[in-house]
Amino acid sequence: MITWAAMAALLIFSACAYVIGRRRLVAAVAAGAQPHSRPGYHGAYLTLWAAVPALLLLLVHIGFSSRIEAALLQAEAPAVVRTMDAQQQRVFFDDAISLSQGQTRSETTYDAAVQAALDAKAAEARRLDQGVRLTVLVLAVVLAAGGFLIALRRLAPDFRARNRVEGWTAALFIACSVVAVLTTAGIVASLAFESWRFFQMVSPIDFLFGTDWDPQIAMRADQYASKGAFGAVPLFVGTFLVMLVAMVVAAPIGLFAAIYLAEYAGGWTRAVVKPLLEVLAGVPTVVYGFFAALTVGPLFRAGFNAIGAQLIGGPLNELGVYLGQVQNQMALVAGAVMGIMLIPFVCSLSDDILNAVPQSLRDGSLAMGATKSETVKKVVLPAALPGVMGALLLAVSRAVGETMIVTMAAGLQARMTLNPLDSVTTVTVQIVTLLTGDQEFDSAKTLSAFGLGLTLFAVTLALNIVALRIVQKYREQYD
Amino acid sequence: MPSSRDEAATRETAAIRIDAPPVQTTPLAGAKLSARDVNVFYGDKQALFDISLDMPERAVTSLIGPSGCGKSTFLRCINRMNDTIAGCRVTGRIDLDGEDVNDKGLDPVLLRARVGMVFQKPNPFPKSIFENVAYGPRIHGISSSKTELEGIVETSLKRAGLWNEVSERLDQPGTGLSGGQQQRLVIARAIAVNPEVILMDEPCSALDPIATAKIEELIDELRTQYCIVIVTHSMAQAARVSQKTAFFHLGKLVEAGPTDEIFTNPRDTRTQDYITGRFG
Repeated sequence: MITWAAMAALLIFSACAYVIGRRRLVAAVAAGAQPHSRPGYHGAYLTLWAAVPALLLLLVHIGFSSRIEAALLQAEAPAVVRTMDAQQQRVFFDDAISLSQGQTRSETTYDAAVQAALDAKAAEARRLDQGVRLTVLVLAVVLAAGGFLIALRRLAPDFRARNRVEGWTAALFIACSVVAVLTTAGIVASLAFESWRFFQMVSPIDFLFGTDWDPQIAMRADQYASKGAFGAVPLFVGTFLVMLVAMVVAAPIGLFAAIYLAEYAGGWTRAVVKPLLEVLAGVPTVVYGFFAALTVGPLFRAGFNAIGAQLIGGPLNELGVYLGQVQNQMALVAGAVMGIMLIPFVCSLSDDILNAVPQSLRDGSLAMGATKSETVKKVVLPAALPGVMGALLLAVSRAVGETMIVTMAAGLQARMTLNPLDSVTTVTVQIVTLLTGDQEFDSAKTLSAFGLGLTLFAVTLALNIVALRIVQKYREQYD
Repeated sequence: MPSSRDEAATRETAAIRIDAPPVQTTPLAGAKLSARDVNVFYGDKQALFDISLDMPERAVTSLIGPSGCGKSTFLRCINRMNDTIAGCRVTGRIDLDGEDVNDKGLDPVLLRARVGMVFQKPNPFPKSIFENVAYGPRIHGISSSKTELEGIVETSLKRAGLWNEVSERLDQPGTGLSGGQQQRLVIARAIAVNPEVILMDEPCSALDPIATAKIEELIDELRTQYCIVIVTHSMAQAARVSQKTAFFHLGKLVEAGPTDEIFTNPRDTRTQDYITGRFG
């Protein structure tokens, strides 16, 4: 609370700094000085020095001080506490901090000696917290005032405030991009670290080439099936199958729709259809998911069952029996709905690529006496082909990583099959099932999700890199 | 034979003297193309006003005038390329051998096979040199066998003066040629379907003087067989290559006549001002 108040005070102070910096220069100019920069830059320079260092300190305080305090607190554990096991010690210190902040503690019952130690620790925590807070506040004031004074001393009419502010601005942009890059690196690192733990339990060879997926591990050692099977090939096959169905749906429809939009549609149609497509691309995938599970699945099942009923007793009796037993959850449904989801994506990207083909090529072909479709087929599409391939690869990478639709429509059973009427499971579905619910984060079962995640990440990354390379190369051709 | 550089240089100096003696004085043959009262509108804006112009067979007609005067628009009316521009409307008649190109019953696709076009910026297709030239014959089914097609490609490239430079690399992309070579490639592409008329929309404006000289030489040769209409910004070029010149200004045809007359004895003061470089 005090920290937030300090921040507000800081902002007001820096606003004042702006006004002061500005006024000083305006006054100097009135007195006949030749300034280098305009008054606004002098104000901004003063503001930055007054606000930024102190603000950074306060942010660090908000982010890290509770952890530092906790570490300091635990450095000297009372004797009674030292006899406890690690779990109990953790609860004890958590309770001490909760009490120091006036919150309710856990419902653990402590005997009198421990209770006394707890109260002592809570009091210590309170003192520690206040001490840290006070230090930070004093430091912040010093930083703000110091920064302000340093900047104020530099401000002369010929000071290059404009260039300095430019430097600060660049620093801000760099800092933001560093955050983005570091976050990505952090995510990848944690994925890699957890996967490494997993691959110590299960050999990567078994994981990547094993054909048996059954990650159920017994909760207790004496239970049956205490060892799981972690061959991920059935998951890769399932993912591939669903992706294939999706692309069979999305690639032609999306591409042909893009050709219509880019080559045939008039201005009015384009103006209506393009935004509509983008809306379709913005529909949350969970909506497609229940569309698949509740509408398309039963529809397909009813259709196949009806065909099966017709075939039973005929020369294709066995096929009829099979079709009669088809269930709601099948690769075909998940793939088809995912394909529908990808249509706007493919269409929008391909449309951009087709539009990048220079009009002069179309004119050249038309002037040769080619019809519109001949022009599209023989000149525009070949010219756009690499870019379109890139767009399709991006769609593949999305299909591989798509989760919600397959979770709701594909099924959970890992099966080695390329039959689209079978229920299959995908890498993403397995990650979801492995990590939802109460889980221990040190069993091979849960850790296998990270192994799958890493594999998925590697595959989609490779696809994206290849696809973007292709798209870029194609763009350069005409720019 | 003098090098093309020298030749280009002499042509350049000859042409800058606008009062130079006329290049040729043979009377112009009958009109292959004849436009009557052509008006063009882009939406509400009128771009051409009542253009009437005859373009003779086996001769080069050049359309000159300042930027935005409508000469390219007029050129694109002849093979109905304006159809591809939304909101563009054309009225009036343009007769090709007495047949109106704007006739509802006339298929613009077939018209364009008879009226070839070369654009300002060379636009070879992203295909091999061979496939570029074979494009027209293929879509129009002109050749019945591979040998015949190869023959057409070779003849067209030879007539475009490109054969010696590319005969060894017909399978390489047409986009890899130099600008001047690309422009001759698209000319070869245009003549491969045996058109009757060739329209050229500032064919040399993206080329250096040497490449320009080659194209001009080529135009001079092609005129023995085709009716050529060329839009150009260079009055020197108009004087060098054309037998008839039409001067456009602000969407109107100011004056048209044999090139030597237009350049030596213009009737209209605007023409005089333009060709002497007083505006434009």
